[in-house]
This record gives sequence, C-alpha cells and structure tokens, in this order.
Amino acid sequence: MALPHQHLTPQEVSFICESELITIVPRQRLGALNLISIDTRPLVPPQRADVPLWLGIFLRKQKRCNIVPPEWLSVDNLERLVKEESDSAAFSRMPWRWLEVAEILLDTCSEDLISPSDIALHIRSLRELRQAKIRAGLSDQMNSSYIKINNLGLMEVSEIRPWVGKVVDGLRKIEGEAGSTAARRRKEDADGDEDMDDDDGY
Amino acid sequence: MEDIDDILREFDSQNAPSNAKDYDDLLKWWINERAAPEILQYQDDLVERIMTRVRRQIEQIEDQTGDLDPRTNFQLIIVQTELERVKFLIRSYLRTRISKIDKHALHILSTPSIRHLLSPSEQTYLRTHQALLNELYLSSFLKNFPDNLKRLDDKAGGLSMVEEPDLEGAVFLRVVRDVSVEIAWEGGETLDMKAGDIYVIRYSAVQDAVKRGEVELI
Repeated sequence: MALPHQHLTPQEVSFICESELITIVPRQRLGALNLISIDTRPLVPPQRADVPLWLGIFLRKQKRCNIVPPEWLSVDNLERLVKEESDSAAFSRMPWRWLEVAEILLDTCSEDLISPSDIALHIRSLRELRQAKIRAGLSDQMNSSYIKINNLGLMEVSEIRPWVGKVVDGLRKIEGEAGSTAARRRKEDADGDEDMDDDDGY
Repeated sequence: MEDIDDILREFDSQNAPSNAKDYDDLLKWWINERAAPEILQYQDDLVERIMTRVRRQIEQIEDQTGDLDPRTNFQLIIVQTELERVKFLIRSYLRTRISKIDKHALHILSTPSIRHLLSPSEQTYLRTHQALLNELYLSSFLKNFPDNLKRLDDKAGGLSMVEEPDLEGAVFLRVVRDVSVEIAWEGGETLDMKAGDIYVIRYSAVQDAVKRGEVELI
C-alpha cells in the first residue's frame, strides 16, 4: 500500500500553504541562502523581507523575527467579512488559503497580531457560517453532472471532498441506469416515429 | 560600465524565478496526481532538475557540517529543513504514481499509450513487479486450476479482471483560464467556466483541459 490516503490530508494542505510567501521583520542578521525552491536575499534588520511561511514561523519560534500579518487578517476586515457572510447566501471572496494561514499564525505568533482573541473569534464564526452554508447549499445543487461552488478555501474543499465525491458518484450510478432506460425509450420513440412516417409516405 | 557584482546579480535574478517556478510546478503536479483518477505524464525534466539541486544541497551540507561557527550552523539547519520538505514532495509524488501503477497494472501494461506516460524506472518496476506476482500466483495456487481459468486478464462473462481507472469519478477543480467544456452525457451541452470558479465535475469532461493547464485540480 504505497499511499494510505487517496485525498489530500489536512497536514498536506498545511504543507502546501507553508510554501506561500509572508512578510517578516527580522531581528537578527541572516545571510542570503541558496535553497532549492528559492534564493533568499540577506535579512538585515529592520528591513522587511518576504520569505516562505515555513521559514517565517521557524524564525519566529526562535524569536529571530516578527511576522507582519497579511492585510486581510485584521479585526476590521474580519468583522466586515462576517457581516458579508451572514447577509448573503453566496460565499464571500476569501483569500485562497485563509483558514490554514490564519490557524498557523494564531498558533505561533499571536503577539504579533492585534487583539488575537477577537481575530480567533471572528475566524471561528466565519468558519461556522460557511460550513452551514455549504451543508445547506449543496443539497440544493446536488446533481451528478457538475456542481459550482466559488470562493471556498482549500482546507474547506478538502473537508467536503470525501463525502461530496461519494454522493456525486452514487448519483451517477443511479442516473446511469435511469439514463440508459431513458435513452432506450427515446430511441424506441424515434423508431416509432420513423415507422409512422413510412406509413404516411405510402 | 557594469560592475561584476551587477552582472552576477542580474544572472541570479534570471535564475531565481526558474528555481521558484520549478518548485511551484512540482507542487502543482503533485496535487494533480493526487486528485486525478488516471496516471498523468511523468515530469522527467522537472524532477531531474530538482534532484540535481537536492544532490548539490546534500553535498553542501556535508561540506559545512563540522564547521562549529554557530552562524553557519543555523543556516545549515534552515537548509536541511528545506531539503526535507522537498524530499517529502518528491517522495509523495512518486508514491502516488506507484500506487496508481499498482492498482491498474495490467491495464497499463496492455495500453502502450499509457505506458509511455511512465518513466523508464517506473516501467521496469511495473514489469518486474507483475512478473513476481505472476510467479507467486502460479506457484501457490494457479497451477492447480483447470486451464481455462488460469488467465489473469479474463474478459469473459462481461466482467473484466483488468481494473481500469475510473474516469467518471468526481474531481474538484479550479479554473485557471476561461474555457468551455463539452458535457457529453447530457446531450452535448456546453459549460462555460470562468477563471477563478471552483467546480465538482466528472473527470472525463475536463480531462483535456487539465492536460492543457486550463484548469487545475485541487
């Protein structure tokens, strides 16, 4: 068994989002590094620099830098988003990896964020609102040809992936049989029409 | 009058995007392989380039270990951490492909067009693995079966023993560029997908779009 899980696990989703860049304020000098994925420039405090998220939290845990939170992770913005989310039935535009980035940042560097407890509260309400919407909305949209859901984050997609996949496949199997019966009936009707035309042409 | 430093910096900045792009590409292809029900084209050049850099990093680490300067030591830890991440990515990419090869082994063997999607080492693995399995089955129980039941790719009775990838399974995808997709099973209806949308759809409808890079699986 080479691969235990067929779908992306949450840890792998975190891994993916750790490759994103984030701005940090270094506290110590660090020379330029030639890494496999990216060549970093030297870190000279207090100039801000962009580094991958995994490097940022690594340095932060050792107190060698401070992380600058992304603009969307502020209390005002989150309040606005919560309001948007509860007002409309569609999903509001969220950055692609909002949930993962928010969780990681809250865990490691809550001192760098302004009023982290409020932020945590808003993130949680956003999450619950969106999950409720997903559950309600999908049951309406459930058909076996396609489903369109915009503005979900990667982690949310991974959450619903197993059961939505199964439901769509199940529907496909049921419709497969119904579809072939319908197709056969259509063909019979078409043949019946042809016969009638021949009769008329007599 | 250009300083040698300026020239080197220019050279570096031309290289740097391709480093980051390779890593991003590997990430993208890893996600694609995970999500797709069939096996996709092996990214030979990409993996080779990244492996070269991995080997170079390992050499560099071996050279610098033993140097007791704490500053270099710390840099070394960062380099090692990154190395582990890239190694995980490569390993998971290869493991995904091997698990798909194992699942559809006989189907791949009998379809040359799919066989070409595999790397040479994967093809060798496929052949030797199947040969071993055949040996095992024959010697343990198959030789005692009557002759007409000895085949492992029996297609009689409407049920094939060869397991084919399920191309009709549902996949999640995100649209990179606007594209129109034909949905064959609902009488040829066309679906217009705009960039940035997220869909759950049968894999067979978007197979070509995935290969052309117009949509990405998530």
